[in-house]
Amino acid sequence: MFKKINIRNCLLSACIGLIIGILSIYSADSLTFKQGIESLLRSGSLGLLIGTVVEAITALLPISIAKPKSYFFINNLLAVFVTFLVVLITSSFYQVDFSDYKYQRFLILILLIVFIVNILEYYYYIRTNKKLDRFKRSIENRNRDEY
Amino acid sequence: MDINLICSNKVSEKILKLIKNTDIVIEKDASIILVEQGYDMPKGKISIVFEAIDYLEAVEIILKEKKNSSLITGYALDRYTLMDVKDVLYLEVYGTELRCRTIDQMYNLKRTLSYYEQKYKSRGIVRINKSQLVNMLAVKEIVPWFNSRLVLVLENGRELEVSRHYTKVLKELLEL
Repeated sequence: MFKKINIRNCLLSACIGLIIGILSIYSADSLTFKQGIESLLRSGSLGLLIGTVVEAITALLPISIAKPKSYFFINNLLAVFVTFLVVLITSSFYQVDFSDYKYQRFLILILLIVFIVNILEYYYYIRTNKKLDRFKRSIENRNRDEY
Repeated sequence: MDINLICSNKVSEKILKLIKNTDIVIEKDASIILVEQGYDMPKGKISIVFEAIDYLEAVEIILKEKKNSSLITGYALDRYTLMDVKDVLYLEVYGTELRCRTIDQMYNLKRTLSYYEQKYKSRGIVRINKSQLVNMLAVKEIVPWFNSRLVLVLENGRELEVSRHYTKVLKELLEL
């Protein structure tokens, strides 16, 4: 399982955590410099933790369930779960008012990022399979020329 | 495929013209030599001796040999079978054995995985992890998977995992 964990993805997750931390500082009112740094470190380490846990869980998934539908479903399920976790943790740390416009904007931003990443991933999946077809055609043509 | 020519310049020119559009390469160290009658046969090499007038037939022999090089010898059900590389789905190391899967049968092979990887690279046989080679012609779909990996779904429904290292190699191959 540990072999399959991609450290780069964990670090990327930590970076995303830091970005979300910056956004949450922006959306929260009246934070001192120390509190800001603390929240940044907290969200960074939370990102790292979430990334590592997600990598570990997904490393356990058997490839027999590897279908595009299941990949996108699990991926989105994880995204929703992580967003929910972020909401839960930030609200417990900063006593955020959910009806606050700034906080709603912050949530919409996260969901927008998830949506865009999904679109990009789907585009990448389509592109990969188009490239596969093209590669197969080139091999077939080469084989035909030789026979 | 590499060959060498030992013949007159005139015949050499004609042969070079004939093989221009194939991937037969003239190499000094090639193990197969086309020798025009009257010239000395080199020792320790396979020589195909031909009359100057029959150069076309000599080239045909080479092309036929090249076609046969797409055949893999496998062992199953107490007999050896020749199978075309295009019928292969994947090759894998299983314990100490090297196995080859076609649509209807699993065969044991004698050589190493690296040997088949090198020999059939141009025919779409690609390494996907430490112990498996796949025939890209048999891949129905590439599914993105977690931990920066890819999963290949084959024509027979079998899924094969592309390791992280070979995912990069595969992406380069597909020009992604």
